[in-house]
Amino acid sequence: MDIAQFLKSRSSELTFIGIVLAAVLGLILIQPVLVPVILSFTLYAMLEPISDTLYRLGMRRSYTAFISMFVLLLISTLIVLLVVPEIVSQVGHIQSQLGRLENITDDIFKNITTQLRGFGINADLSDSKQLFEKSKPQLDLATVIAKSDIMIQIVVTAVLVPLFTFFLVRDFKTLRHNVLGTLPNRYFELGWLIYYRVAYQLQRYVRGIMIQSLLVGLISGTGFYLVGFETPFLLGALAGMLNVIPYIGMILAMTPPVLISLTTEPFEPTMTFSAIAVVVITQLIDNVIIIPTVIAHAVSLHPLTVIAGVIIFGNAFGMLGMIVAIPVLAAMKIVYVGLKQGLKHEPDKQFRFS
Amino acid sequence: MSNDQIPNDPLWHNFFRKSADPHHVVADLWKKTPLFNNISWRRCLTLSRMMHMRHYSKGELIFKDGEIGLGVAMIVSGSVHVKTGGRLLAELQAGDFFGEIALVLDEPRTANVIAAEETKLAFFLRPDLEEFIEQFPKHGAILTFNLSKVLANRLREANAALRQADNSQDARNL
Repeated sequence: MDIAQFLKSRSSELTFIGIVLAAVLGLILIQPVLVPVILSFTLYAMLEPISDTLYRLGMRRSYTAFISMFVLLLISTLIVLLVVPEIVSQVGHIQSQLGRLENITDDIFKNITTQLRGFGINADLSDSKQLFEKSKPQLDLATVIAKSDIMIQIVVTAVLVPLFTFFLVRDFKTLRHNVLGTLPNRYFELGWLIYYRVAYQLQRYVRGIMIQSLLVGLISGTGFYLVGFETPFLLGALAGMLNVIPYIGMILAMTPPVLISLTTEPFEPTMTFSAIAVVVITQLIDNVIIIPTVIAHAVSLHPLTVIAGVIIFGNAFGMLGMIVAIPVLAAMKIVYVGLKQGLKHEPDKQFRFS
Repeated sequence: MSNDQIPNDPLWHNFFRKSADPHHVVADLWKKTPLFNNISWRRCLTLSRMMHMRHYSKGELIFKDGEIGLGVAMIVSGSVHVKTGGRLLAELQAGDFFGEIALVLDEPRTANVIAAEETKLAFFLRPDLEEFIEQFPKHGAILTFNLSKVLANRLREANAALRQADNSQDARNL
């Protein structure tokens, strides 16, 4: 087999590798604005139905974009006025509770040292206090903010997200038309086919995951309130957000309530078990009811692929990487299958747009 | 400026003159096809703005037999040859459309289509149709009804051709 024949027989794989390399290069180039871009696309997905309804009524795209942005501003203002003060007060409360964790751990270590001495083992665990001395600044939110560029990132994101969202609502369809219009005649239909399949699945996944997060947040928040936590709203919101990360999210969601339960005075083991129970029950409801009804079949990836993807993306892009791992993997799978079928002229009997 | 250089159109013609927007030409052509029966020109214009314009040079392959298709194409200018197994099945001109089966089925194309000259096509894809149905349900229903009529006619024609072929075969056997 000569090189030309080999290239022809492997055209779908080679095109796929080319697309992946281009996507990785694109990601590296836009990494400084990756968070605003992802947020803007998420907001665009939410605002698109409003904009489309207005457009259907005969309004120009510029006006529909302005009205959509006004709706967004209204919702954001309501959130800032109603939710943010509550979150700030609950964060303060949690910080003060976690501050007590040092003394509690010290007591636990002293108890263990005494117990060990009772068994004839002469080990002094008081050195463990040094661990806290080292990790103390990490628990201080003000220090973290002062030492990092979080504030700059927040300001940049706050400026860029509305700007990007406005232009996406106004021009995305034209831009998409123009970009895909540059494809050669031979691959024009295939390009649109792959685009629609990826867009359809991503849209379903993003909408599904947002509904899932909201429901998980509400259920776990109610659970934390019923078992007597003083900050159920924040813990629920945190569980809802962390639930976006598959498999690992549950463990991460369990950590804050368990830590808080350890700091209650007097210490009640039932509180810790209740915290774990709330997270586990929420996960059960999520797996048995929410996922099958809301996001079933949104993506069909093997669990091992998901776990490996979450770890690799998390390692490369942090928390954001863990969140976007599944949609990115699903998109890659669709592009690969689409290219393979398209370039080998096989129809996809499984896929239907609606 | 001499008198014959002065345009003799009345002034008000300028107010009612259709704009040079290429979508207007496409909307006019689609409006004349059975696919867009009972659909207003305004909606045809909305649809033509969703369509995809492609230019093909003489001899360029438009559709390949067995390749995946995603929609229907209408000839805006130029002409195309529909061929199967090297045999010319039809020559289509501006205003004709082809490939409408792909609007409803995820099946491969059934013939080769080649540009007979410099040709401009307006593609209307299945996701565009779905978006149109979602945005304008009433007109979407009319469009799908028209599409089913077009496909039913094609089936009737194919059946008639098959019957004719059977009859000639029987006649030869006798």
